[in-house]
Amino acid sequence: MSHPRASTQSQRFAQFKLVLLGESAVGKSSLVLRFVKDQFDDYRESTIGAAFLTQTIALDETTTVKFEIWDTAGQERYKSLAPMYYRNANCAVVVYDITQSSSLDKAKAWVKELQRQANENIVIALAGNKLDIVTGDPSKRAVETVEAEAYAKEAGLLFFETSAKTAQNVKDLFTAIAKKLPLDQPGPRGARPGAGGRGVDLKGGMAAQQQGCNC
Amino acid sequence: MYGSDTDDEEMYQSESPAPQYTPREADLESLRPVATEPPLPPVEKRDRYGFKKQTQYITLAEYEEWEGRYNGDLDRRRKKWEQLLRESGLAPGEGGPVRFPPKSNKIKRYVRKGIPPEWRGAAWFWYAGGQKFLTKYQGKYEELVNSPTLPSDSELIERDLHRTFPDNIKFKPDPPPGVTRMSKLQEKQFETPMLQSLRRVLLAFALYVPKIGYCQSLNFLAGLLLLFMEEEKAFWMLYILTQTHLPGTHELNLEGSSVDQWVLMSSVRDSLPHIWQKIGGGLDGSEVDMSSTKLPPVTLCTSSWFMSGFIGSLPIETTLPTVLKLYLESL
Repeated sequence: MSHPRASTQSQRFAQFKLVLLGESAVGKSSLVLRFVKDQFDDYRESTIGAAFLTQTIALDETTTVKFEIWDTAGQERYKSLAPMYYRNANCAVVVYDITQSSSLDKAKAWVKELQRQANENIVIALAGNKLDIVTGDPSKRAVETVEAEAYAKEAGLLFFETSAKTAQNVKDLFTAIAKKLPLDQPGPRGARPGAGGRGVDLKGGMAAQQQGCNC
Repeated sequence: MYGSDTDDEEMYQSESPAPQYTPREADLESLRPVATEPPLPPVEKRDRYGFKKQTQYITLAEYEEWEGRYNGDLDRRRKKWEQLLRESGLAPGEGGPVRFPPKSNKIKRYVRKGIPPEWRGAAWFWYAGGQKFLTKYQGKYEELVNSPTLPSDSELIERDLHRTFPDNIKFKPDPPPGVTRMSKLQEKQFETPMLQSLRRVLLAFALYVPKIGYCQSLNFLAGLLLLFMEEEKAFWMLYILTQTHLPGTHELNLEGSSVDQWVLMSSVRDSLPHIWQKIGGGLDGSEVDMSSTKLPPVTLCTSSWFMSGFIGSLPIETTLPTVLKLYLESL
């Protein structure tokens, strides 16, 4: 995948809003915890409302991408809040659990809603989580890779099967999203395609170290 | 929301505020690869309620240093409370007090400064008027628990049981040696009595209040109540809390929750404009529209304050007095 490179040696910094959506208990918070803190808890408390986290990754020597991540609660009744999450979102990770086929249906509904309601150029990735469970016991798999992959291709989504527990494909998932985002707008730190202006400065780098504001 | 009397303001401060998070070297340490075989982890130390003392924010040493001071505070508070109860003719019996003095500014102040932990459940129950419900609807809880009908949200409840206080030994026992993730079968096998109570309370509640059913966050409210009182009392306290103190907050469309957030945001906008400038917008640096009628995205985070009564947002020792304040002062 290629994208325009800055002609000079200058550093490029881009900031993007990312939203995580999906059925409850598919592992959204665990994926974020793995990505942001490289940690995993076997038992995680259910997310109420949403949590806000940030993580910065270096795409190459001159390009840094900062994700502002909205990790959302999965229960259906929180859905009415969803537009607040994906308003101005540059990218979304829609998560399902590969051991629960109904969670893919829910994921498809989210994709549909995003494609209808969210930013026109939103980059959407589909993540089939809990890969570690089927690696240990293939009979636990409820969604075949080819099936989900075919759907993702048809809907124009990035696709990964992930394990927040073993970290498999987690970094790849976020890196692939970063690579697909428009990075061709070099600017001062904090410049953000589409919105512009500085983000909220949560004590500089502090935010990335925390599990989230959890507020 | 809370009382507005401001006499004796500094008295309201707890003498030992709960420890605050400061980033530390150990955080980074834990991310470094371990070269040698790590020793078996020691059995985690737990606080008086069964929560792990050490969290992602607080080291064991920090906790215990604070706990020493806090225990001193508690001893002093207990003596004060005992005296107050004696003066009110309500001397606590063997099992602690059941009745408490009528609400007053003095009680409010005492509550804000802390109540002996083993009396909390009784105080919550008393000030919320739980006994009236227990008496009036005698047998109702048992009937609900024995109902052959499962609420439509039963699967959601099941999914959240093991995600309620997994750091509390009364909900999640330490796994057998060498096991990190228990199978569904093992989870059942090692279910604690409290987790089974939580299941019954949430199922009964969803049947009894179909307008709410099960809403994520009720698991934390019910779980906290269960740490301090028996099951049937916890059920009625959950009912009272969701009907009287947080009306509509957990209902299907979360409309009450939006109202809560509106009140909070309006208060911030009117009283703390400098804070509003930072949180009232899209959190992306764009100008805050002072006349906007949309809830700002920060409410996605603040909604959990109300929905789960600050559980998970504040340290447990700060949450507990907050819950009592809610029962005592919000009417």
